[in-house]
Amino acid sequence: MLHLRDLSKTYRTTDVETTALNRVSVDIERGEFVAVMGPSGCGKSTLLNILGMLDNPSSGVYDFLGNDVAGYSESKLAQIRKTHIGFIFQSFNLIDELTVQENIELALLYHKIPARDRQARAEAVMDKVGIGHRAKHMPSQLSGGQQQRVAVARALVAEPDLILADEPTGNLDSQHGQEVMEMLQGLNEEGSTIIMVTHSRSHADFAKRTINLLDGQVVAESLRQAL
Amino acid sequence: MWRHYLVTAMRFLLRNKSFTIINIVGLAVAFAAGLLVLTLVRHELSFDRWIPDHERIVRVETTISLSTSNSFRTRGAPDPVKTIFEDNLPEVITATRYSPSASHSLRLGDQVFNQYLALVDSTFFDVFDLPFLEGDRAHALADPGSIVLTETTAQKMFGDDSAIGRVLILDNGARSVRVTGIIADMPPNSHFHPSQGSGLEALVPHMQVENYTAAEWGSISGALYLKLKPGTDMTDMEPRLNDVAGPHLPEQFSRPEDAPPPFTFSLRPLADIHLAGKLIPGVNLSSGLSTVIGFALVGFVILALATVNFTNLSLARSLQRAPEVALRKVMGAGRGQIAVQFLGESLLVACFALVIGVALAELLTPFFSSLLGVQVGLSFWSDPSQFLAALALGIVIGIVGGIYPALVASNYRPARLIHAVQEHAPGHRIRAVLTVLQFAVATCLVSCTIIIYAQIQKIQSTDLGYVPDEVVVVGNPGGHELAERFLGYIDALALQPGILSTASAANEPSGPSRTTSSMSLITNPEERINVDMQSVSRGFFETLQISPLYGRLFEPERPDDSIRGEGENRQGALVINESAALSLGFDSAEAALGDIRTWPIDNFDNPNLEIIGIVPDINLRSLKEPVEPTFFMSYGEDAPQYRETWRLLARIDPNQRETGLASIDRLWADMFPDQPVQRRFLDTVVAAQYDTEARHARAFGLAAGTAILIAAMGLYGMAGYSALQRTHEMAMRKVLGARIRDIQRLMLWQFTKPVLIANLIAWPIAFWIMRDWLEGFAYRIDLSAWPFLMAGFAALMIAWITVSGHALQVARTLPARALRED
Repeated sequence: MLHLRDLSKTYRTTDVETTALNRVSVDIERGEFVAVMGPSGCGKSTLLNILGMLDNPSSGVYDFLGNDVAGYSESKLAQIRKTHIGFIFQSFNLIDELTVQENIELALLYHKIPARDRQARAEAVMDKVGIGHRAKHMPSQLSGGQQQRVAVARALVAEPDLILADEPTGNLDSQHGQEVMEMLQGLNEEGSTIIMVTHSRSHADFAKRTINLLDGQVVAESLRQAL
Repeated sequence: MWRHYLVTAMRFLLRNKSFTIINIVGLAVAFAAGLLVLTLVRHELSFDRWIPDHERIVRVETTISLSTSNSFRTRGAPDPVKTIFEDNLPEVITATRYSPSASHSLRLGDQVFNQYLALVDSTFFDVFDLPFLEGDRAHALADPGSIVLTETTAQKMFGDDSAIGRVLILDNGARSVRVTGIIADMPPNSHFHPSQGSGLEALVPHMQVENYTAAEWGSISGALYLKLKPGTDMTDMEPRLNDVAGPHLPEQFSRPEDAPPPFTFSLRPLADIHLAGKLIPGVNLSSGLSTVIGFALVGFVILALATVNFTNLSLARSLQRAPEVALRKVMGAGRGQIAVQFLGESLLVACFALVIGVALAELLTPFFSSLLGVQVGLSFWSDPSQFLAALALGIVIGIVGGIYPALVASNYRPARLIHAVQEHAPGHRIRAVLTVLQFAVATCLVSCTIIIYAQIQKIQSTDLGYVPDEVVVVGNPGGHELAERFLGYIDALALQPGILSTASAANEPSGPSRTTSSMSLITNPEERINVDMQSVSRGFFETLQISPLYGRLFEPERPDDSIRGEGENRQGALVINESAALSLGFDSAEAALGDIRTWPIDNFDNPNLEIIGIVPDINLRSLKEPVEPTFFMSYGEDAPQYRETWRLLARIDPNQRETGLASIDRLWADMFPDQPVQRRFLDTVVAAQYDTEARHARAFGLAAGTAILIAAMGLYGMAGYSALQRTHEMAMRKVLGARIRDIQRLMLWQFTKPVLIANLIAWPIAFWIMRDWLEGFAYRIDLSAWPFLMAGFAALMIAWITVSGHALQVARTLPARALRED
């Protein structure tokens, strides 16, 4: 589904050049659940930004569904992103002014989908993640776990090919974290491709494969043995 | 999509109440100010444009040259030129004179009305197609015994009875006139409106004069209007006015080839009359073009200030919404969609502000009108053009104020959601610049206000050289027939209880009328200067408490002091002021004493006059003008001018004020039972000259107050935002040992800097504007540093008070909490 070849990213300021990713090559196939691990500053977030087409690599190839998107313009990337990629963030990033349902519908708002269809699809996905009864609530009225469920629903509603999760349990207590991980695992089993950045070894264990980064390079890959 | 935008915007505004209130209230105040100013400017520009064919009606104005160096322009024209222009200029379709005067009386039975009455030609309504309520326009003024009244005047005289055909006695029996027409009242946007000086209240045809004498050329009392053929080129026509009038000038006005002609005629289009400014003698009391521009500028500045606030606050708040923007972009929103969303929110805020602003403007209209002394008609709901103008204003401000924040917001990168990217507050420099500009404008306006008030103070406390307090001015009863009786009244009143002395003067001190003549220098008879002529009675100086510098004043027991005799034998005495003595070429003021000379004090006689006294340069005119060389003379009983006594001046005993006033009224009622007494205190007449300046001061004060309010609101919002943004930094400083006092000082200094820079910008601008304004006064304050320092200090204090709350809040936040929240 996606293939990275010798992908590098360097940040330049006037005096300093920092290499965030150094010749990274990774292949991820449809239906995989991949965890990306590593210490702070190892390049996890940069990798996720590039995979999510929120940032451009400095060099190398990023083949997404058969297209090398490495050199695409921002607007072209935005086009691919909105139809193929769903995001889940550590800090949920729900819009405070919108209700649960409106937050979820936001993912369809820029797709030119009629309001009635948006509503129906949002309701379906809310039921799926178990927050249908909170549809009219504002984010501030929900617990952290519930907020992340909304974020997951928002990531799912546009039926993306790939879900990118940036430390989805980082702001949650262990019980809610466990619930969210179980939900992601369930989604993967239903066929969703998921790439997740995490600090937690135990949460990484929910993934089928783990990639370890250190100083911008892939240092280890491990496959979880099917039980 | 639009519903979604609207819902998001509404909820954001409701959630951020202080931001919303500051933004909406600031804009609403500015809208109200802007709309009031806009309406005022529109009113000022609409004068006389409602009169049919106004674009081809012109007023003939005359520049009178008394000497080579001195000429002045009047709004009038000599009577004889009307026929000359009609007969000799093919462009002129018809013409009418208009000579208004307040000193006529109209009697109906035993009731007497003192009415502004204008003598006009029978063609008046051919030139001015004014709406008739009753009567026949074509023949209303055909008969010399007819009179046309405005609706209000007719109502006043006849109540609800029909006025047409009723007979009135004009000027105590001089003429009887029959009402032949009723016209609608003049609207406020007409130079004929009573508030503009000589209002149009009643019209009577001129008596026909066959042959004009030189005197009629020399005395200009009325205006002359021409109606021109369509398509007439006025610039082409103007020089020919002088060409055709020249040959008809009486011999007395002949001048050498190289001297300027005594009269130069020019044309003023009807619609320009109101804004043309004050001519001499001034009839048009209203603001003039420069004031209109000034008002428009102030209105624009206030709107700009509020727009800057709006931009500044939106920009600051947009950082708070950066995650939302990033998220929307992740969800697929393009830059354009984000920009449209934010711009739409700005428009929404502007619309709310507009609604409040319109209501505020409607509410403040009466206050505004009385403050500025201008009638402003505000009617947003009934006048579609006003409504559309307001709406356009709202949309323009919404777009101008919102476009930059919208562009900045739409530029936030989505990658910031995944930590790796740090956004910084956008447009930091622009915000700083805008804050500086706001305070610069506010400080500038405050400086100007202080200086204007100081100048008015100066005028009010300047020693005029005479004492106007406790002097009552009583108007002439009107009509030459009563002149003798009025003179009797003046003498009789002097003996009444509570009256210290009485006198009379042809020109009221500080009044609009003047008599000017030109005199040859004693050193060089070829060279002439302008001299102000004051015809006064013998008690004049005593009543106004003026003492001579040298020599003596007119004395009742010396008949030689009065100007008497005919032709060659004409002689008398003069009292002149110090300026006159020096300007005429005497070595010193004292040296003028005893000089006997042929001074041509009235038009064509050459009496021998002796200078008996020199008085100081007293200010009988506005302090805007320097004191001119002045001749005072007193006519003897046999001179016709003796009866041209226009004003009685009576000094009242300050300890018996009520008795004195009662004496004036009682004696008047005895001697002029038909007429109401017209009296005023002289000090109010003097003060009335500065009404315009007082209005300017109030308008500037209001503008300065609004500007400061808006700037302070903006600063409050910015301080709140800055407090939010710097909480973490301040917590770190506290961890490193900073005290609450240090933090507060840091926060205050952040907002002191822009105010100080603003002062440096504002001071020279205010200095420049005010130096120009003060040029208009012969007596003016010296521009010192203190008004500027005061304004700067006020701005700084307001800034500190505004910011201190937020500074304290930041300083008191516990570091642990601030760092945890980060």
